[in-house]
Amino acid sequence: MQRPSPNPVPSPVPDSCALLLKQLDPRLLAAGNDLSELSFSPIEVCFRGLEWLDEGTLQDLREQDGQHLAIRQALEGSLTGEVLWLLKEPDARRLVRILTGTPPGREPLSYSEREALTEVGNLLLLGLVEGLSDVLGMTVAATAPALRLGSAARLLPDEGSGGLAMSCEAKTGGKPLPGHVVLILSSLSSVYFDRHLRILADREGANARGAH
Amino acid sequence: MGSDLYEALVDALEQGVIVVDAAEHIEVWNYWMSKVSGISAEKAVGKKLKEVVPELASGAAHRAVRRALERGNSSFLSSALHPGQLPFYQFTAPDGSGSIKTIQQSIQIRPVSSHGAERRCLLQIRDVSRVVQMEDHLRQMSRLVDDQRIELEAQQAEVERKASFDPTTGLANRSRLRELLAQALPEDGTEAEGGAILVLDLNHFKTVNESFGHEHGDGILRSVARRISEAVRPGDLVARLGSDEFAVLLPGIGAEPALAWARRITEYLARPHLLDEQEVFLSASCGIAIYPDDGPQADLLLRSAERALHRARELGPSACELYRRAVDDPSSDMLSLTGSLHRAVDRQEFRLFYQPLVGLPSQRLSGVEALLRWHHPHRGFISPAEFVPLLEDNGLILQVGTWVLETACRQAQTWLETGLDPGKVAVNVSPRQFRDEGFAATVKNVLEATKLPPERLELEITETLLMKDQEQSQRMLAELKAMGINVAIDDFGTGYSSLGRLKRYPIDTLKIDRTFTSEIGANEDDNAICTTIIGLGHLLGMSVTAEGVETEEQLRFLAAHGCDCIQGYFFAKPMPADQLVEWYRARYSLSATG
Repeated sequence: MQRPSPNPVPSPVPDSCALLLKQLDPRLLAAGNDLSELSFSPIEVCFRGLEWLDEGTLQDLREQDGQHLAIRQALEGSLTGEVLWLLKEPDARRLVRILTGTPPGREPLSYSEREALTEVGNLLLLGLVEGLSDVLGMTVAATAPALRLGSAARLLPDEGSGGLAMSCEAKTGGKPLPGHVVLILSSLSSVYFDRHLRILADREGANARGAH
Repeated sequence: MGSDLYEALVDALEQGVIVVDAAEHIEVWNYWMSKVSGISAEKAVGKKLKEVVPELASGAAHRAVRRALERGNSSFLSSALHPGQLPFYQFTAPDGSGSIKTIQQSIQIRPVSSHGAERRCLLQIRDVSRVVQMEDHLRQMSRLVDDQRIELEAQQAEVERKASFDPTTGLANRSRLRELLAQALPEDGTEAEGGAILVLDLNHFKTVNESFGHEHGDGILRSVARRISEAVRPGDLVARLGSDEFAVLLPGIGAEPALAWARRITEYLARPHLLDEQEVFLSASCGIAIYPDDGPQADLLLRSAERALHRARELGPSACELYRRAVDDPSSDMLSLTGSLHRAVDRQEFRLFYQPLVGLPSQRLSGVEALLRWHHPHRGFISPAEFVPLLEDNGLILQVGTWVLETACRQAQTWLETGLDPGKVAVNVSPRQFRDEGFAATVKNVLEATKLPPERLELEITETLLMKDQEQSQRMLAELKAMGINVAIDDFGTGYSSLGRLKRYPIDTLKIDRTFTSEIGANEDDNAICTTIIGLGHLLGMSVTAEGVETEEQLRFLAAHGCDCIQGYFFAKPMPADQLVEWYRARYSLSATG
């Protein structure tokens, strides 16, 4: 995988981001449905606040205190880079207890619990990846998921990278479970992605004008 | 890579491998799959996935297969999230036990593409049972270790609590108080915050204890502890130092407020204590030391407070006294002597005098007794009767006693090396020294250090001491005798001895007290006592020395009745080591030096 370069996209396109999120929404809901099918308490997933991560924002994410957990998948095809779901460790622990029905405890996550989290993260990330492919008309595939534990700084790509992130709030048993889905693209992919985003925005604009 | 080799490699994998084409026909079904499912590759290959493994052709697993085939995405299925939905495999364990093994699995589903060919889907099925089992085992072990750690910590906390607190009253004990005092008095040169230590002693508690019994006595002690704790400020430390001795640590206050607190406490303690519906009246004396002025270290400070307590006791019930005032009070002779004694140790004001022991009938020098003298810089020589009990009281006797022993042995060895044979050197042993568990080791160390042969040393102990703790006495005497040291009973006749017990002790010499010898010739009873002791000593196989012999008549009487050795002014008074040499030279006309 190519290492993304600092701030690869010329400028954030907030309107495009909002538009992308709007278009992604039904597809992400489908991913949520996949999650709900699992034989445990239903998880409602809500992606929101899609935003371009400048260096400062990414740095804020990195500097979050405490142990974190990330499920990561590499991207192949039209876009290369990586996508990951970042959760604070206590939140991940809470989720897994609900998933597997085990009582709350302070012990490290077990192998089965880590696998369960991996699958949930996999479904959630695939929802985004497939949504992006469809909305932007690109072919993007995600490789096998991997779970990692560590500080946010260790789990997120190196300082200086830019990326796309959305806060992702999953709800389990009525309680919110805050987290972030972060998309970090390689330099070339970022330019390509930005171009598609602008095309999307133009197309939407044209459609709106046509409607008038 | 050839097809045969490829198949062999896939079959060798310790995980299941299934490859399906776009229409979900099985293309690869490896040996592991055959082993766990009982379906051979011949039967599986070419069939639709849903015919062979229907669980993988529906629900989440099937969606994952479609994702791989249609979009090229990889997925992961965990058995933890799909109980009963993934293929359920059991097979006979290969360990020969015949047990049925259920496979707990996770499945990775990923696309496989080869150039020019349509996309296929690879399903990798991993048996994670062993990992899960191992982890379960480790968790159990970890819990067990945690439980044991918690139990050990609880035990350790209990041991620490017991080591630091008095079980009767629940107050801190002396050791804990010393710890806290040490913290309050930093030795690293940093300035101490300052404060006061109060030492309280219940007057006549022994009588109360004897009247009401120990159980009730403990009840009174608890009542006292409660009263003191109620009287002081929150955060002040109350401790029990000994049987009826308590202490209060009052940080951050000076002499006058400390005195006020002490009075408040003693007044509160003087109110009747209710015990089994009976009123018990107590009073307490209180000594106060201010830190860091009255003692820069915990031990010294406590000692100062105890000295002030001693003075307070003299002043009357419920009296409170500051150390500084007690020391400055000229009427407090005892206190000033005690203070001087501490300085005397440091300033080496102690001297050893030696009094000859003369053998009968030869009248040759058979030994010398080392006698401690204190030359006070202002008061001159002070009688041992005055200061030895003080040394006993404050524990300095251990330090001074060792100095006496070492000095006497060294002197005797010096005389031997310079040609003067002093016979045995007799050294008095105080009760506190004799009861000290390390005493025998101290004697041994001194003999080794001075090179004096053990048979040249005679330790003098009183008969009262010997009879007090007979078991300990017997043990200590046995240790000393094993070294080859002589033991003499000092001041014999003045205490109470059981002859039966005396017989059991390994005693070499009986020393007749001067009160009997001084009356020889004047008092028939004393004549009889002296002759009886001599006879008794010989009967028990001991030699007999008469102390305080001052006249020729006494000498003749004792010689006539078989006394073995004489000590007293008739021959010589106690004298410094150099004068003894002169005395020896003059008496025996020898050219001894040293």
